[in-house]
Amino acid sequence: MRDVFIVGVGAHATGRFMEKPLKALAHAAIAAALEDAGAAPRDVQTAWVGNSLGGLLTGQEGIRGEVALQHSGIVGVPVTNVENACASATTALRGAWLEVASGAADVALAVGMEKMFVGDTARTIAALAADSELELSEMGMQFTSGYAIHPKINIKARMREYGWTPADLAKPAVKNSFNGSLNPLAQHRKRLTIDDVVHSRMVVDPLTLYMCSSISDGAAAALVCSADRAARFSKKPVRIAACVLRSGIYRLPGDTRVDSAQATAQEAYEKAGIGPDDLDVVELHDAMAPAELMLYERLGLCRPGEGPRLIDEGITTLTGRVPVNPSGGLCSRGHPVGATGLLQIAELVWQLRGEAGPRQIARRPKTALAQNQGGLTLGQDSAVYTATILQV
Amino acid sequence: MIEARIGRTGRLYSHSIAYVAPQGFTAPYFQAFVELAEGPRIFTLIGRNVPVEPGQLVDGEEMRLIVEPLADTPEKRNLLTHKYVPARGTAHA
Repeated sequence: MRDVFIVGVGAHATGRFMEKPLKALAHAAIAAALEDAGAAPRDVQTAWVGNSLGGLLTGQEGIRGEVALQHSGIVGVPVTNVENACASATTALRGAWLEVASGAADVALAVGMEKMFVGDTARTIAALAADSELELSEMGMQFTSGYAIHPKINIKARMREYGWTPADLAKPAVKNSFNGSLNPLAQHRKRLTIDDVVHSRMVVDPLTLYMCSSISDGAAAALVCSADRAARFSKKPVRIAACVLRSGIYRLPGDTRVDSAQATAQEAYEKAGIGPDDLDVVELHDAMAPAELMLYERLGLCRPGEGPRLIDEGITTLTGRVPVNPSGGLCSRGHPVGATGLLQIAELVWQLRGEAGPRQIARRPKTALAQNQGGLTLGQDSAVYTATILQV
Repeated sequence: MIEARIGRTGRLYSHSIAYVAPQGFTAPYFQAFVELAEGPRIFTLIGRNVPVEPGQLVDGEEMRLIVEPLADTPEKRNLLTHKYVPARGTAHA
């Protein structure tokens, strides 16, 4: 396999953009990524386009990638549509990475795009629920329960086991709201306090409104290429040191196999030849804020139960040893599901290049991890897990 | 995949109250996972005779299978499904 480099990233802001169709969101991100790389549409040899809900929400059930790319002037090339729930965008990145790594192409584009505001919240919620296996959504599972009581994370049980309080659960949301307040692309830029979060409306006990990511429109793109092309496009290429994708497993009670987010991260660490102590910055999948506390342990950043301490001691804040979710994460930056993974990647590329503006991590990071996951199956696991390690 | 017949009992693995419901369901309503004697844990709603209040269910307690409409809404009232209720007492027949 050849080395693969990211030479350009771009994103459309996250938020509510009623006047913009899906392809307009995507076009803004694609144009920005190409401009960032100094590339033209004709330089793109192959493209992978991630989107999850566009079929149900816009009615464009097929060829969403071809439609978006044609709008951006990228035509006559292989286009692969990717649907992998909230991990669609990093799955698209893996496709682009694989084509360049294998030598099938020298320059590949990865796109993630989502249009969730369609003027009917109930329809958007129903589409989101369809990212779970039917026997969960049709049986009446409110998907926040996937974090509150679902065996894969079961925040309620963690409160009993670790003694976590509602204030502990709120800490990632508070930290990330500060980061988001510094991000011009972020959907929610208001700084929150512990009180704001704990006393916001209960959604599924113990998760409150401000602990939950919200409906969002957005798009992001990354241009990747081989080493010889990288130098031509960019003065600051970022190497993809690992790009791991795996499906969840079916677990029965008593299953002792390692957690799937942990297994995915471990595989990425091995492929990159690093360990969690080498990480300088992390973007992770905090679809519900307390998930960040669990992911700290599963990514190897702390021992079980120590998540709140990492925030108390400032280790994962913007000025800490390993800042987590400098973009604001899913709760503040926004979670347009099929775009989220590449929004994480774009943020990490900006951080690694020292271009993140007021939220730039002062001691310039060299190694970054993006952790993304999606979907829920009857197998007591998420459906999709990805881990991507970037280095400069 | 193997086919298995399941019995009428299970153990409450976890539960919570949802204060927001998707279309066709009415909040607040219970959300629960029940561990079947045969092995799997399944997502389930709780029988409508159990008041939707904290303290009504205890994780770990024995549960009993019932069949009732998925929800009391026009969209769901004609769909019969499995649900669980606490096995203790007879109040939730």
